[in-house]
Amino acid sequence: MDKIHSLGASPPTFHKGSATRILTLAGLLLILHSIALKYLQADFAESNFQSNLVRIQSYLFGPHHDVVLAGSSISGRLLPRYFAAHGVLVANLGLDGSGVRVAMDIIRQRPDLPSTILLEIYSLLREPDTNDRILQEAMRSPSFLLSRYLPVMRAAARPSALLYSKLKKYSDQLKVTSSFAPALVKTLVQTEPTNRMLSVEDEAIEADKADWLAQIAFQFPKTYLLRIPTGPFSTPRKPDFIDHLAHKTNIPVIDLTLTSIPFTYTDGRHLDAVSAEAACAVITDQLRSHP
Amino acid sequence: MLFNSWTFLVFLLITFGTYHFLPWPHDWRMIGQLSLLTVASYVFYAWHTPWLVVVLALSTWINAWVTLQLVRRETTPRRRKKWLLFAIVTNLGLLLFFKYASLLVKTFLPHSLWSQAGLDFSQIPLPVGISFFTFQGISLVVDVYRSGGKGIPGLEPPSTFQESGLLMLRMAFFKAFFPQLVAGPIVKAHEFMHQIAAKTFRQIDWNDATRKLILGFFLKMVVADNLKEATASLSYPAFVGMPGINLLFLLYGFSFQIFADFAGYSLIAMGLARLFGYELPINFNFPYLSQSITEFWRRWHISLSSWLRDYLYFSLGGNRLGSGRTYFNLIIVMLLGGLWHGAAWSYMVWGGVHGLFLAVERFWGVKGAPSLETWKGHPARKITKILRILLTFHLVSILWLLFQLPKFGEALLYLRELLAWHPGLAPQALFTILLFSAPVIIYHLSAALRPGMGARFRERNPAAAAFARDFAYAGLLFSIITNSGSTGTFIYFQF
Repeated sequence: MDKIHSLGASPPTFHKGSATRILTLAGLLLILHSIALKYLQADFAESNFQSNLVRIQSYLFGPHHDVVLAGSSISGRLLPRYFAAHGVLVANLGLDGSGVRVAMDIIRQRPDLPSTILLEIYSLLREPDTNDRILQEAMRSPSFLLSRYLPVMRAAARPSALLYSKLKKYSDQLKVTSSFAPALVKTLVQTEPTNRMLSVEDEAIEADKADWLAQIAFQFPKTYLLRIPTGPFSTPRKPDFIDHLAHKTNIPVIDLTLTSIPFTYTDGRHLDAVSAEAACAVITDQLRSHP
Repeated sequence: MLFNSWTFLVFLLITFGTYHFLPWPHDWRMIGQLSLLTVASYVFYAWHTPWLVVVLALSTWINAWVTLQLVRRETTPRRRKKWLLFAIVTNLGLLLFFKYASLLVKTFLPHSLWSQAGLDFSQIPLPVGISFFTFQGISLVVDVYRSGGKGIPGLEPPSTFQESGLLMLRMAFFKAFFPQLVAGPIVKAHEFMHQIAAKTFRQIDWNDATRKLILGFFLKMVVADNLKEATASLSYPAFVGMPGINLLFLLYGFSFQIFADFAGYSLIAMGLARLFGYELPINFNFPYLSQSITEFWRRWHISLSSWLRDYLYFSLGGNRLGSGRTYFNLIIVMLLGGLWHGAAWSYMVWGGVHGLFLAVERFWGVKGAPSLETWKGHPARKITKILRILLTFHLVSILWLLFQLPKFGEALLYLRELLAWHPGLAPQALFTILLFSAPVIIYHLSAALRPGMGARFRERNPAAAAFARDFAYAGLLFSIITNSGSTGTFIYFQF
């Protein structure tokens, strides 16, 4: 009698019709959750992978956005609502553990393309890796395809994402003590030609990236490179070479490192909420002044 | 083919529909159903690497042929022994070649010897689930051998050629039945063969099947897959410099993940088997409620630990040859049991340490019978029990480290980093681990409370209790649909 019920064994009091009742109750829970989703929205998720899905599905299945930010987790901190507070609707495809290349592939999947593209410099030279492959496989999965028609199956509808998002927003609000006035310094720069000799490695990268960037610039006339400060624990890859690429492809750079804003970081790499808001204000200002 | 894939769903629907609704002629129903499930199981197995199905077929044929020889009336006891030896050597030979050849050659032969000969043992493919179906094969021949030629229920000596053919089919089905083929539970012949019969749709226990499938998929897709994303940082050098609190919870998270992954798989296998009218043995019995390592092994991967006990420990003499030999047997069985988990010495060490704990506990007279009877009594006793559970859980969790960090240096570094207790907190990972570990903790707590509070509630309010249980399962199903993690392979597939 005191012997515990073993995992998997049938308890003696299990109702006969319980299989039907379980399915009915689960259906009811799904309906209630669908209704609740009209009032709830997750901007984040508890894992990098799910956060990426939140952003991707929000871009692909949501309303049209005229401005899209493509990049890695460095850009992921620049939330759409920070931009929206300054009157610009921006879709954020800052993908954790991934980068610009995958984000651009996603951007092109919509029939109504955005007019303005912000390409994060930090992950510009990143080569495709396992994370990219996992994301691309996830986007081809039946669950992902179904989620276009069933919002309840989207990453932003996950109860865990809703809870995490709520807690994170609350935590961020506690940290925001003042708002920055954007320091309107010379952040939008047309890079000067560099005179340095390119290494053999850089020449190979240039051959690949310059063409790719030129194609983007051709397809999206308002394309900008975006240099976001990355904190003391992160080393930006080949900054001079990026400037060289920008010059060669004639793509303007929004360089937030040239502002006088004292950016602060959560983990030595990523902007914290206050700094991210300030960065969004500066970017919005630059986009407005260079229509 | 993964249970949590859309391909499997289509496969299952086709197999289930054909199995139950094809108008089999009455006399041929069982043969039709067995043939269908055997072929479907080979398709299931061959899905990713079709040629590896040859290994399964070969293993099946050898075991079935030997079994036929064992049940033949004219086979003498001496010949039976030889056939048994042949079957065991062949089974273990296949396992050694495909799973351990690379490890053994690299460890014991000089590199120059085999590299000059142009041999690259690391290229030998590992047939998925080979450890499971090899053990099932051994169980088949040993069970029949132990019957002394009389056979076992469901596997009686054939008297005609047709009966021999049917026996071969039954054995092929026993080895290949897809729910348990690649990751268990390890089904023993005497537990399964007698169940083989013609099955009807009406025989399905839908409540039990639904419950097991929901719980299994929940543990796998919601708990294990979500925890997997958080515990990915339990790898070198990702954990170096991580805050102490995160390192501690990573360890807990991995313990819960490995439980949810494997217990989930076993439950899905049991639920699927139910849909075809079969019952697989229980594989997990709330292992993290164990008050000792001895008890842990009576609750964790029961089908493996009972296999090791029945076919290895007893064969070595068990506890009948004195204390010293008993301790030796315990350690040797666990060393081999550890190595069964993977072709790396770290697995053997993992098993060896467990064996050592078992020997020490036996020396101290620790009983391992899984029972919660002792929850009754004085509060001081309850506190002692709780402390013992916590101690066992921590020992087990620390040893799991060798599964994720097979290099001893890295595992030791992890423990050093943990003891260094770096300040700080990484909230996102901690949130994920806490959130998705909670169901496993609640699940174990519910088992601990079930005989007391739970029983009283069920007695007083049977209808409310049934509704509460169904509502809980509905919640799990809702979570599977809305809150699954990214698809990944089952941890135990590698074994």
